[in-house]
Amino acid sequence: MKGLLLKDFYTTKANILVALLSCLVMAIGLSFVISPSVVIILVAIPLSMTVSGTIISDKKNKWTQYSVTLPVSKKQIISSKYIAYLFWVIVGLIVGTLICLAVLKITNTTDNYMNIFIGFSIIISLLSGSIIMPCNFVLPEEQSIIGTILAYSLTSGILALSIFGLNQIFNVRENMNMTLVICCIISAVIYIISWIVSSQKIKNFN
Amino acid sequence: MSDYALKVENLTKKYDGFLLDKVSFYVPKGNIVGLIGENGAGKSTTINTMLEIVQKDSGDIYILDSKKNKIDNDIRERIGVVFDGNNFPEDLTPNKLNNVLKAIYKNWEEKKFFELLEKFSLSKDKKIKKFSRGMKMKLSISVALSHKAELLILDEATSGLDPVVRDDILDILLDFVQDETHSILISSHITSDLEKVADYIVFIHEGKMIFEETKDNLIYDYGIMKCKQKEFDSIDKEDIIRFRKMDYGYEILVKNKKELERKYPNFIMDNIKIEDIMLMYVKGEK
Repeated sequence: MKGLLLKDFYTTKANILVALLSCLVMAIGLSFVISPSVVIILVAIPLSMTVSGTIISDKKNKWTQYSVTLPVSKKQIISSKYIAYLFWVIVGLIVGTLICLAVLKITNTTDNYMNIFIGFSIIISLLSGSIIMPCNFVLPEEQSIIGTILAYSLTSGILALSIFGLNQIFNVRENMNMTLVICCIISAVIYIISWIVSSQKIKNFN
Repeated sequence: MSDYALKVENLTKKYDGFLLDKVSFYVPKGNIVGLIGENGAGKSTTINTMLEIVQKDSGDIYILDSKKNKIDNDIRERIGVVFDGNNFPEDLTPNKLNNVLKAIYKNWEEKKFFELLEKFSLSKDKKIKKFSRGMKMKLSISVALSHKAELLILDEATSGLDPVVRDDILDILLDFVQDETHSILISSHITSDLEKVADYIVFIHEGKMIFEETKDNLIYDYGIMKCKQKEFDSIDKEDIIRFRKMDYGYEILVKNKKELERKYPNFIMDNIKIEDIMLMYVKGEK
């Protein structure tokens, strides 16, 4: 498992730096127009996406096929992707939050939306990851875009449905923090289910 | 301890439009077994199902001393696999690949890996994507030989390589089986390579196993008998494995060459190459 994570670290490192730089430029610009907290979401999601992208590149260069012949189980191969994804979500959140705080400090302003953007970063990253990762494993590489479209459509749907459902129980606008916490928990549960189901059901690595 | 490194029994895998049909063969320890067949015959499917890259529909596979149908990590430690083309992430360098594999294989031999890289003149710090096809194959073989593997499985490892690189690779394989506990299964449609190194030949055609024979048996026992139409009609049908009608007459694939030479003294009997046998099975009539 350690070797698989190390391999993903090596292969994503270059992409992460490029993604981070381009997101930073975009995020800093947008932070003056919308809110500095937007940086968090704009850093966390692309960073985690680089991991789901490695599933496609692993297929292209036959590493997926080769990794099955290594002394690691198929469960470990799949789990390494889910762990790496979580790692980069956390790194994205930390980096995004630090940038946001730096911008606030420089501009000497406050931002009331930080918790909302942190919450949405977690929800969107986990929900999209839980869909895009099994799709990238199962679908042929030329159809990987389908996984991405499906992931973001379903993420929006699940999020809207959750908020609609919660709104029937309490006023979402007045209880935004509680709404975000519940949605984060739902996302985390869906992510874990996706992880378990993928580890058990995905058998063909060709 | 079993006397085989690999035993495959009735391996079956069905795809849309293709059936790998009850393929059975084995790789005796200390031997090189060549898996031959035309493109799409089922060689890669056999290897992929054996290695559990794709799930088989039925059949039994025993690798090294594994229990029936069970390839665990301990067994995988003892297998070296080389696929056609590149096997590794192209952004890595051999140095980084060494770090990755060191963390995966219990028996990883870093020193041996770097020695092999040096032997093959492969740079440690050059990205794999900058390697030529031959260099990538040499890198894959270096990896396969650097974790105390007892069984090498190579899928079309020599295809697309120039004769010099192919010869280098064949030398390495011959060197590997000098240790009698080491064995190799190598699939290739370049039959001349297998003629140089293989002890046994397994022939798969359209998903079915046609034969498993020692290479010497094939070369010394099989032959191509040539005759005219009239003579062809006089041949016992059970002596004909396959035949092809040519412009000048008939070419007939036969077994028990010496015996048939006596039986049909007026016919021309040619020696045979593995490629000829494959062609007769693929293009000939029964």
